[in-house]
Formats: sequence, C-alpha cells, structure tokens
Amino acid sequence: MIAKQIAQNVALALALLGAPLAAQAAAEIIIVNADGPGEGFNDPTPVLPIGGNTGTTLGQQRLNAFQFAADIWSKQLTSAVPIRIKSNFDPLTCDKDSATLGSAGALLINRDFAGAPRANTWYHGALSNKLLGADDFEGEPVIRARFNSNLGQANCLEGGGFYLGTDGKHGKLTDLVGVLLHEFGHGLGFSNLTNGQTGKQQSNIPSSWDHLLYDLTTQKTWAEMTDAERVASGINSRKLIWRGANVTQASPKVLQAAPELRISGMASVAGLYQIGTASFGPQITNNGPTSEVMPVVDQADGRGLACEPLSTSNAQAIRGKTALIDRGACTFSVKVKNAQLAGAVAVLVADHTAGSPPPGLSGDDPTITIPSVRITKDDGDKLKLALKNRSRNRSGIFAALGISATQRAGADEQGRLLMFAPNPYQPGSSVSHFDTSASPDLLMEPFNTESVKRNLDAPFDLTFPLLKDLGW
Amino acid sequence: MKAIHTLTAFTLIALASTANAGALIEGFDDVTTLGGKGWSFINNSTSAGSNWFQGNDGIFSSQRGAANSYVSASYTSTNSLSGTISNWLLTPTLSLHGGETLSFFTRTEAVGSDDKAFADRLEVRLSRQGGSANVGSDANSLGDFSMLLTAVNSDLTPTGFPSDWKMFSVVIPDMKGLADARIGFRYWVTDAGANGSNGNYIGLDTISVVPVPSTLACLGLGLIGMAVRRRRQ
Repeated sequence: MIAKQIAQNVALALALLGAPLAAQAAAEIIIVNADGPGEGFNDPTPVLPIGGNTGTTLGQQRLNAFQFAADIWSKQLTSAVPIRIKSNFDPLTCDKDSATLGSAGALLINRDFAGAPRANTWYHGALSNKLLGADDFEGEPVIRARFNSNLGQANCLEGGGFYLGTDGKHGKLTDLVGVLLHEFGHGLGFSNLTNGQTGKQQSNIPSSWDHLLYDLTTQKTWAEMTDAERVASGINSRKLIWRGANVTQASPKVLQAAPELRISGMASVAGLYQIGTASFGPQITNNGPTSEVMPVVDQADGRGLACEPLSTSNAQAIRGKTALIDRGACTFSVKVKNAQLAGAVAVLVADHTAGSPPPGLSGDDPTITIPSVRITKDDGDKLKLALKNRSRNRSGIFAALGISATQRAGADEQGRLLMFAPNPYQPGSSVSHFDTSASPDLLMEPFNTESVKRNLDAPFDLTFPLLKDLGW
Repeated sequence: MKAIHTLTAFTLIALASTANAGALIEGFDDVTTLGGKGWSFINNSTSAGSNWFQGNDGIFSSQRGAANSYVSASYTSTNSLSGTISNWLLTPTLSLHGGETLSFFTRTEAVGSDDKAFADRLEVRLSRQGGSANVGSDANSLGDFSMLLTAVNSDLTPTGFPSDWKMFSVVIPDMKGLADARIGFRYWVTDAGANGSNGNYIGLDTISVVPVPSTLACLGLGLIGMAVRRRRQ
C-alpha cells in the first residue's frame, strides 16, 4: 500500500512563472519558480555580473546561483526521478542583528512504498522517489524552499545582503550558494518530520529521522519515545546524537579533536564543562593553558564585567591566571582584551542568560592573544559559589583549556555526531541540524558561518553521509 | 616545633581528665559539624557575604591534620566593593573560672614581593553571658563580647599578620568562680571588599582551652576527698 501525505499545508496561490531549469547530473534538480512577476527570481533590477555569475538582472543572478548550488547537489546524488524544488524569495524573520536566511523542508512525504527500507516510517518525498525508482507524486514539487527577500535592507542585517557570486568570495555579505546548499539539504532529508516542540509525529508514525536520533540520557531513539520524552530530548543539550553508521564512520575524517574545559582542584566543581569557543584570539590547542581561576569583581552586585581597564586588585588577582568574567554591558572582545592587558592567560565568560549549550564568543580583535570561551550561566554560578572560598591571589580551582584525547569537536566519545538541541527549544533549528560545537564548521549547522561551504561529503563535510544513513 | 608537640600532648591529657570543666580542642576536620557541636557563625559585615568556611588547601594547608582541616575567613566576607568585615565564629559554651589557657594557630596567605599585601586582623573576645551569641547587629557592634582577650595585627598593618602558622596563647582572666562563657573569634577588617585596601584570607586551626595544672590537681584532690568521705560513712 502506498500512503502519501502533504507535509506542509502550503496554501499559497503562487503563480508558477518561468520555465523549469534542468541540471545535467546523476540526479536532476529542477527549480519551480514560485515568485510573482517582478519579484524574487523574476526581479528585473539591472545588476553587474559578479564573481562568476554572469546574470545581468537580480532575478537572473538569483536563478544562476540556485542552479550552481543545484549542480553541486546533483553531482552528489543519484536518483532516476527529477527533484523539483518549489522556491521563491519572501520576507522572512529578521531584525537589525539577526535574520532567517532561508528555510526549506519536504513538501511531500511518503511511507510503505515499494523499496522502503523501514515499514511504517515516513520518508522525505525526494528520497522516497529515489528508493521507489519512480515519481510517486506525479511531477509535483517535493521540496519547498524560501529565501529572505529583505536581507540587507533596513532592520534586516542592513548592508549584509546575499552575495550572488558563485566563487565564494562573499566578504561581509552572506553567500547565497552556501545558504542554498544548506536549505536543499533540509529538503532532501536533513530534517525531522516529527515536531520536536510537541513530540508529535505525523499521524503518529515515526520518520526515518526518528530511528537514528538517539538520546544518551534515556538511551532511546526518538522512534522509541513517548511524545513527552521527545520534548525533553529536544532540549537535552549535547546529549542528543545521530546514530547512523555512515556519519559515525566518516566523522573522524572530518572533525578535529574537540576543545575542552576541564576544571579541577575542588571536588564540588571538578569536571568537564560545556564551552562555546571564541571567534577571536588563538585556537585552543593541545598545549592550552592550565591555570588557577580567579574572578573579576567590579560591580556592587558581585559581578565582574571587565568593560574598563581592571583595578589594581583585580589585575593582581588574575595575573597569570584564568579570569572569570560576566557577560554584559560591552563586547566580548573588550572584556577579553582588558583581562589580557591585566595579565590573564585565559578567560571564561559566564553567560548572564540561562540556557545551554553556551554559544560562542562573537567579535573580532586581532590584538587578542589569549584563548577565551563562554560557559553557561549555571556553570558560572556554580564556579562563583566555589570561588567565594578564595584569597586575593588564590582559589585552588584550576582550569585547563585543551584538546580532548578521546573526543572530536561536535561528536560524542564514540564519534557519533551531536545534534543541535539547545535549551530552550528553537523551532525551525532544533533537532534538524548538527550541533554548533562541530569543528571545522559543517554545512548543516544552524547558523551561517564565515567559512564558505562547497562540500557535502567526507573528508570535508558530513551532510551526505547523513543522507546515506537515511537511504540516499 | 617542640613546644607545639608538648602542648598537644598535654591538651589530650587534660581533655581526658576534665571533660566537663570547660576544656576544648578543635581541629576543624569538618566545619559543617561545628553547628551541631555548639559553635555559632554570625556575619555582621557590610552586605554580608561568606561565613567562616572550611579551609581551602589550594591557598595553604592546615597547621595539622588533613590539608584542608582548618577554618577560614576571607575578604569575601563582605559582598560590597568597599565595606567593613565583622565576621564572627563563636565557640560552644564553656565553663571557665579564669586561669585557663586559650591557644590557637592562625596565619594569612604569603604573597609575592610584587603583590600588594592586604592586611588581615583577628580579634579574640570573651562573653561571660552564658550561651549568649549576642554580637550586636552591625559591623562595629560587639554585643556581649566586649572583653578583648587578644588581637592579631590589631593595627591592620599590611604585613602584620603572620604568613606562616603561628601559635597564640592567652590566659583567661580570673572570673571569681565558675562562669558559663563563650569565646568569639572576630575577623574584623575595615576598608575591605573587592575595591578595599585591606582583607585577604586567614586560617584558624587547633584551638584549645586548657585548664592550668593547678586546676587539674585540685580536681584530682577533690575526687580523692569524696572517696575518703564515703569510706568514712
């Protein structure tokens, strides 16, 4: 029996304009242009050719970039059935400092078709067609993808719009080809069909994703869990992993050894801590500093913001040591620079907002020479409590920033990839991405990063190994 | 060192024979048990922070026993950036009548020559008001503990507090008969806090209150006397 379902009720009466574009490859990818006249892919605004993109209108350059990304995916995939992606530019969520660049998902899903690897399991439409070897949806688009039409305009990362060149030299702009590759990945299968916020499955049937998403705490896959267990698992930060064999096998070739923060010296706080790494200062290396932790205190409520040059007392406390500083009131790089000028050898920035995992420390300052990491508010509070038993110069609590002997950045100790499961839950991001701790950055992390991504497979990326786990 | 060993040996003998006569020995193996043994913690500092706490052997080790087996007070006694510390540690109620010797060891952190030394001060005070824990309600008050027995670095000189364990002894003044009393250790530092000029971290260890040898002898004689009386009946 063949059962089909429309995954998303996209009741958009969008005119399908423009002829479908076909790519010559192992799997044909076809854009179904869902933009109206004069907008998005049809925008007639004249532009100069840029970075390998020869289009002379904004709309044509967008289409060219789309085709370029589609060609990269086409070479990676094999399918006898053309993959149709219904796509357009829409105003998506954004503000001054952040923006949704794009979104994509399966428009059609399928189960119990001939050749389905698992019975009673949902598959993304593109994958089910490949496995079936025929188009079970009669030429309908199987993927829906949207890209932010306002990006770069006022109150939407102003000045930081899409770079439409295909050469990856995007500078301060956002590389559209990279965003397209990422979003196509979601549509092809890299997304959970089960709602992580409610735990509810489509028609109470698990997706292929649920069978490979595994919680280290409950030691169950999402297919084995109740709705409530899935809700809890969706925020089980850095305890939610991908159990597919292809990803696990490839991960040592792709991921670097993980940076880690190990606290020692006082039993009540000893152990490994979750960290977010900094975009400035040196990479954390195997020979990273081990030094005593001392807090900066410059506020009446006991916090240390380090937004100004440090007082003599604070400077004496942290000289040659790891400074513990609170987030807030000024940029991370200013705090770290002030600690560095006072003689600190490393900095821990304690978050002021609850939640885990700790995001990285953003910013830029080429004069920073000491490593710094962010820790969660809970961990910061725990350390500060223990640090009350300190003198002016010593705490007896030590921090070692270094490289794990057993763990890769973004994987558990067995090499299984950590999946993005922040607390609180982030609809649209949680559970359907690799965790942000992966290093080097992966295509399917939830946030766009500086590094240009043109690779889908090992030894550079793990997107295709994950799709292979699903059946691609 | 010889003197210390002699004292300890003597203290143990004294304890064994005069358990009910106000003797005390405390080595601070576990500060969390002090409350159950009758000790009190009262922090009257400006914007009070930490009470006296278990010694931190990452700063220095104890005078004797396990490395962290001492009690500490630190400049974190106040949460204010600049304020006065008055952080009290009171012994259990003791039956004293004067002449007993109180001894204890204390020290502060040793600092490098390039580092500023933050002055510490410890006062030892006596209350003769039974089990009273009245030390007043602010950083300057003394409550029932108006009698100063001794002070370490009373002038708050930057390097005036010993930076290695040092024993201090004081004889309890004559109380004209047995009195229930408590001894208060007061970590008292002005101009303290994160931005203050004073206040660092002190340890306190091996506190003992030892009856004078003549007291021991009298007690022994008294016991013999009773025995004699009984025999006569």
